[in-house]
Amino acid sequence: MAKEYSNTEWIELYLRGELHGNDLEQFEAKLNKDIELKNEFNIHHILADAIIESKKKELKSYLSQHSKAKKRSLFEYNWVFSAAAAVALLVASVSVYFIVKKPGSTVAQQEIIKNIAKGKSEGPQFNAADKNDNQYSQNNEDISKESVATDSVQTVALNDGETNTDQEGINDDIPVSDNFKTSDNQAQMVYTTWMAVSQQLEEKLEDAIKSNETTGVRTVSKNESTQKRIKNKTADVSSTTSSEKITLNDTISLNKKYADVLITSLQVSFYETKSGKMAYSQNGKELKLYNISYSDPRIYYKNRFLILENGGKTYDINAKGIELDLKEIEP
Amino acid sequence: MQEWGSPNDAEILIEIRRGNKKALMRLYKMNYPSVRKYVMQNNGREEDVDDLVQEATVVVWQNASKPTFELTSKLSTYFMAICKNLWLKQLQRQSRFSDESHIKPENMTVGAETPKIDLSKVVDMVNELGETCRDVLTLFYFEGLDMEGIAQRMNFANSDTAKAKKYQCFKKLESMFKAKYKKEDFLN
Repeated sequence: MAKEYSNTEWIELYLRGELHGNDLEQFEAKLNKDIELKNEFNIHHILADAIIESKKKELKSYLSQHSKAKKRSLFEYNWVFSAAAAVALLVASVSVYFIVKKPGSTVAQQEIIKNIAKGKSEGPQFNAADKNDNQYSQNNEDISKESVATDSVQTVALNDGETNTDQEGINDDIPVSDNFKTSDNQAQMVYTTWMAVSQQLEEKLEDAIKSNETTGVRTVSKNESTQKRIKNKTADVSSTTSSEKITLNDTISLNKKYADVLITSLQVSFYETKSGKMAYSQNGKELKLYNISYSDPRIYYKNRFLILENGGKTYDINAKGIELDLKEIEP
Repeated sequence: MQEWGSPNDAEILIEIRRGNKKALMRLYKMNYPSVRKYVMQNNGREEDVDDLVQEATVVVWQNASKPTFELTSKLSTYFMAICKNLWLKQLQRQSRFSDESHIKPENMTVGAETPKIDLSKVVDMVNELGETCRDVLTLFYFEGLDMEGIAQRMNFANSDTAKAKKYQCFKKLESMFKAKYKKEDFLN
């Protein structure tokens, strides 16, 4: 053993594994003989172990804290993200609510706006069994819906019929209720179509629709139609009393480039009743017009009021209910 | 010739030698998934994984801190090898414990060398030392630095200062220890 090292230094070299060869053998031999050295070694060994253990604990504690903090922060992040999403959803809901509830907004508008908010369009409906409308016999005719767009003042464009003069073609598309019964106090539905509602249309579209594309209205006699129905569906139409003309039309394809934003649609049905009183009923999804002749109808929003134009006259159709008076208003 | 493996390994080793604990966390996170997979495939449970990865991280830190350490493989390979050794030891301990559990207490003999020193109490003494003392002793005993290295890390003037400080700190700890324990407590 080299003389220049103290016992403490030898012990440290040994504990750090830095003694080799002869030095190591000599130290171990002395350690077994020298009790004082042995005592010092034992204390030193314990203290060195404690120092190492202390550092290990510190590092493990650091790892525990930071891995937990990481997990916690992830959880908090998720929580914050969820909360933010919930708040955003709430704000969106409240916004839609206030838009719907804005003064001047009618029930019909509310329904349509709700549908707009949903971003969905409704397909053709055959709700002949509507409990509120049982007094009317309903023959729902399927006029397929096409994408329609409106202008910036939210004009509701009417899907008009293709110029299809083929009787077979028309009547094949008309589903007929199996129990097609009418009586004197029942309305006879003569026409149903869909009013597709969309928004963000360029202003010029309205004219384009009216002048060029809203065509295809044609008239067929009721007898022709009835015969065809019997042929196809064997529906009982014997009690049908009206001999007036029935106006039918199919849908037309509007210019697709204006129809990017299809929002929703209104099902519009024309009815004739014996009383002959002009009336309407609407629930936001379906508009029923009584005793009004089909004459190039248009429906649109003006100052958030739902307006019907038909035959050069303008009507307010905002109120929701059954068989309300159809009053002409100033255009 | 020292091989560092990927550049990331070299980066981690440098940071370990600087005592940057972020490198510790990186080491932990980097190796956790593979260790977890290994433990789960070898009779381990989810709760074993954390302990094992922690233990291995500390061992790698300790070894990598030493000036003589040479990494001859990828750090992840080295880490995994340490984990496997630790895990095998733990399984052996569990197996031994399981065997010993069949021995009835009355058949057990109390050995003459039953330790009378509670190491955790000595650890508390270490923690009672000042921060500088604790750091100096840790650098010497845990990280294996020489006086030159300690002087650098601790910003001491030179290695003599480090040596004097280390001596002073050790004596302080020793006196605390001797005040609490008698000779008989630590003599075999």
